[in-house]
Amino acid sequence: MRIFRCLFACALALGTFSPFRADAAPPRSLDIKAQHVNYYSNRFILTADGNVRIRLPDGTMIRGETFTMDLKLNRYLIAGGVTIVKGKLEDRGAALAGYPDYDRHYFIPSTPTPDRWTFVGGDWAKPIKGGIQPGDAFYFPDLTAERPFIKSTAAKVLPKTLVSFTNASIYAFGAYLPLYKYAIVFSGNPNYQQNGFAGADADFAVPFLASEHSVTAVHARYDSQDHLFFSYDQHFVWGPDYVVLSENPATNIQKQWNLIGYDRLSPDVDARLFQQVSTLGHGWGLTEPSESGGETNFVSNVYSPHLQLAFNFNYLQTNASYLGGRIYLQEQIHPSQATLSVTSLDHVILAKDHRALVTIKYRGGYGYQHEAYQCGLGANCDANPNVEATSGLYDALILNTPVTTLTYNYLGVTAYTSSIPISTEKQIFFNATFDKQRQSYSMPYHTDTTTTNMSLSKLFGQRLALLATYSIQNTGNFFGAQQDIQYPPGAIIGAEPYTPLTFKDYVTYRGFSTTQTLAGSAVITPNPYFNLNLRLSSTDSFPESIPGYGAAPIQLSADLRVRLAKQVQMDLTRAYYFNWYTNTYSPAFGITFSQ
Amino acid sequence: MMRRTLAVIVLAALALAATPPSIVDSQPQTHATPPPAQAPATPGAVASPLPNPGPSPSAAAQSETGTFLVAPPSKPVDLDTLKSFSGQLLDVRGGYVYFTTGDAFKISATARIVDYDTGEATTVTPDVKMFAKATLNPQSKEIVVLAITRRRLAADTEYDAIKKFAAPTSPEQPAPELAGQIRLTGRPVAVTFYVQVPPTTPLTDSVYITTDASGWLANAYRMDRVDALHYRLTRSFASGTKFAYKYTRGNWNSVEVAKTGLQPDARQFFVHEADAFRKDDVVYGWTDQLPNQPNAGPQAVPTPFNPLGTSGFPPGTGGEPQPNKTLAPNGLPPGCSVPGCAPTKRP
Repeated sequence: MRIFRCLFACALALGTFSPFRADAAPPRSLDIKAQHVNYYSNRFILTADGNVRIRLPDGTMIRGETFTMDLKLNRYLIAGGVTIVKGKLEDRGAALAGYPDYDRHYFIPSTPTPDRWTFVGGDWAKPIKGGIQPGDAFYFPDLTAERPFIKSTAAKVLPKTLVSFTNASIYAFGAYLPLYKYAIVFSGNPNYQQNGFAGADADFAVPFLASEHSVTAVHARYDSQDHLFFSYDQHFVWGPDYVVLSENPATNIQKQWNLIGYDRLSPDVDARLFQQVSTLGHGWGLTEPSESGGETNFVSNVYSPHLQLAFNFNYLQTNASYLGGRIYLQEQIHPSQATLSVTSLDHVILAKDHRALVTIKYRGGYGYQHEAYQCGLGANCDANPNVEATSGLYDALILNTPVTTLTYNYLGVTAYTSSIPISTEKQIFFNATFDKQRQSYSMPYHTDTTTTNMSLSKLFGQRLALLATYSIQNTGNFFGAQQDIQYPPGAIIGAEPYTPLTFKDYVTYRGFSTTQTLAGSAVITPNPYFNLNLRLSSTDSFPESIPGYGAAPIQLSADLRVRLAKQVQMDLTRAYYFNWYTNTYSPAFGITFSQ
Repeated sequence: MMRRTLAVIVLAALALAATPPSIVDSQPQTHATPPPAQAPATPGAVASPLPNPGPSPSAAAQSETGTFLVAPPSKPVDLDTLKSFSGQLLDVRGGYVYFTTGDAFKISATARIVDYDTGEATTVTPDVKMFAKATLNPQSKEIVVLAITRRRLAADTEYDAIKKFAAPTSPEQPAPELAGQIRLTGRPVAVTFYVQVPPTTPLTDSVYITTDASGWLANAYRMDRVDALHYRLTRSFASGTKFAYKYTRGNWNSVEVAKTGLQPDARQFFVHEADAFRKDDVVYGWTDQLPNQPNAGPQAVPTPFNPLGTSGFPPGTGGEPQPNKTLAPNGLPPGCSVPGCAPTKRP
C-alpha cells in the first residue's frame, strides 16, 4: 500500500511539474526569410517585416507579419497573424515571444479566444494556459532614429553568437554596398575576434561565411608600405579554444601565413601555439616561394594553488635569404630559445586594519638560448669577421669567444604599496613600487635591474585627476674582470641605419646605466565625450638617449579622445620634444578612429 | 436623459471641430477617464462613445467637416465613464485588438477606426506595430473607437487601470523562470568601472575596456587614471543592458590575465535598475608582461654587440628598437630580401 502511495505521490509530482520541464533544448538557430530583413548595429537588433517565415531546427515553421530580435538580450518577437506549424499541429495567434534562455515561448493565441499560453521546451502540443508572461515580452524596440546597417531578405541567427545574412547590403561610406553574404558576430566570446594579422593602418573586414564554430573573412587593408591589399583569415572557436589561420597580404608576392591555436586543457592549464611562415613568391597566387622563413612559438601556463608556472619555447626556421643581392645562407640554421618561469601570487607583508599596505611578489626562471645571436643590423659583423668565420652568423662574440648556446636564470621581486591616503578629504594618495631582478648567464656575466616608482595623485571629482610621478631605473651589466673589454673606453656606437647619430655617452659608458624621470600628468574628463591627457616629463639618463632610442629629455605629450558621433570617436596624439636633436614634435599626429 | 446625452455629444462635436489635432502631442493624457470637456484636446482618444451608432443627418454633416462623430447613440452612455489609453498594436483580428502589453480587447462591431491626427474616418487597416488610442466602453468592455497612427504614442494610462477591461484569459499559472525578476525600465544608469591594475603597469600607459558591444575593439573605452594603481570610467547605460568586457592596455597583446596567469573568460555585466552603480574589478596581470611571453625571444640578452635585443638599447634607457625583433639572418624580416619590406609583426 505504501508503495502505491509513493508511486501516486511521484506521479502527482511529475504531473505537477512536468509542464515546466524542458523536453528539448532551446532553438539553436532561427532561419528567417521576409521581404525585408534589417539589422541595426547600434542596438544589436534584427528585424524582419512582410511575410515573415521562421524555421526552427526542429522543423517548426512560424509565420507572421513582423519579427524583431534583441540579439544581446537573446529574445525575439513575432507578431501579426502568427501561425505556428509543426507537423499536424497548428496554432494561430497575435504574437509569439521567444526566450531561448528560459527555453520558453510566450504566445497570445487568437483562436478560439484570446489567452496567454506558455510553451516549454519547444513542445507546441502542451501549452501552459494562463502562464504568467514577462511584462515586456511583446514590446517592440523603438528604432525611430536608427538606420539599418544591413538590409537583407534572409538571415540565420545563432543565438548569442552570430547572424549570417544572404543578399545583404551593408551601409558603408554613405551608401548601401551590396554583398552576397555577410555575417555579424556579436558573441560575448572574444575568441571569434582573435587577430591573425600584422598591423595595418586601416582594415575593412567582410566576414562572409559563418557557423557556430567558424568565421571566414576577407579583409581589405591599407598600410603605407603595401598600400591597398587584401587578406584572408579563418577562425575556429570552441568556447575558450580557438584556431586562427591567416594569409596576409593575399594579393602581394610577399606574404605571411599565420596559425594561432589556443587550447584550455583544464581550468588551470592552457597551451598556445603560434606558427608564422613568411614567403616571397613570384606572383600573388599560390606559387613556389623563392625564399622563406618561419617562426614557431609555444607557450603553456600552469596554475598551482600558490604559483604560476609558465613555459615558453621559440624556434626560428630559415631556408634561404639574401643580403646585398647574393645568397648568404643555404644551410638550415635554427635559433631557439626556451624559458621555464615561476611567479608567486601576491603576499601581503604589511597591513593595517586588515588592509594591505605593502605587498610583494616573487619570480624566477631558467632558460636557454641557442644560436640566438644574429649578425643583424648594427651587430658589427663587418667589424668582427671572426663571428662570421667561425660557426655562422648566429654566434655572438662575447668575451672575445663565439658563443652558440648559453643558459641563464633569473630571480626577481616586486614590492608595492596600495594606494595610501595622504588626505582622504582632499583625495590625495601615495603609491610606490620597487622592482629588482638579477639575471645570470652561463658565463661570467650577469645583469641587475632595479626600478623604483613613486607617485602622488589627487582627484578633483570626476572631471580632473592629477598625477605626479618619479621613476628611477638602474641597469648594470657585470662582466667582472672583463668589464673594460666589453665596454672599451672611447667606444663609439651608433644606431645606423635608423639614425646617423651615435651614443656619445658610450665613450664613458662602462655597462652601468641609469634613467630618472619626473613627470606630471593631468586627465581632464569634463564629460563622457571628451577626454584629454596631458603629460609633461623630464628625463635624465646615462648614457644619454638619442631619437629612436629612449625618451626625450623634456617632453610634453597630449592625447585627446573625442566622440564625434554616436559610433565614431577620434584619438589624436602628439608630443612636443623641445628641439631634441632638432626634433620638435613627434613625427606625426596619431589619429585613430574607432567605433 | 436622451436629450441630455445628445446635448453633450453635440457640444463635444463642436469642440472637436474647433480644436487642432496637433494639441495631442503637447498634452498627453495622463488619466484614464477624461472629462468630456477635455475630449477635443485628444481627437485620437475621444471618438464616438456610442456602442451602437446609427446614421444621423446632422452627425453626417459634421463628419464631413472633420469630426468623426457620425451617429447618435441608440443607448445612452455616461461619457464620464469612458476609458481611453494609448499603446502599440500587435494585431487586430477575430474581433479583438491586441496590444503589446499582451492584452486583447474586444472591439465593437460598430467601432470606428479613425486617423489619430485628423480624427477622421480612415481606410487604413490597423496593423501590427501601429500605435493606437483606444476608447472603450467600460460597461461592455468593448473598444468603440480606435484612433490609429504610425507615430509613436507615449503611454498615457496606468496599466492597472485598463487591464481589467481586457479579454479574460485562463487562470494564472505560476512561471518559475520569472520568479524574483525585477521590472526593468531601461532608465539611464550611471555605471562607474573602477579597476585596480598590477603594479607593473607602466605609468605612461592607458587602460581601456573592450566589450562585445564594441566588436571587441581593444581600445573602445579609455579609462581615466586615478592613481598609480587605479583607473576609472563612468558611462551611462540603460537598465537591462547586458554586455561582456575585458580590460586591455590598448591592444590584444596586452589584455588582462587572471590570477592564475591564464586568459580569463570575459567579464559579464548587467545593468540593474538603479540610479548609479559602481563596479570594482582587479586586473592581476597583462599578457605582454607574463614571463613566458614571446617577447623574450632570441636576441633577448642585452650586450653591446646585440643592440637589437628586446631589452632595449642602450640598456637602461628604456628605448625600444624600431624594427621588429623577429629578423631573418639578413637583418630583414623573414621573407624579405629587400630593405623596406613589411616588418613581421606578431599578431
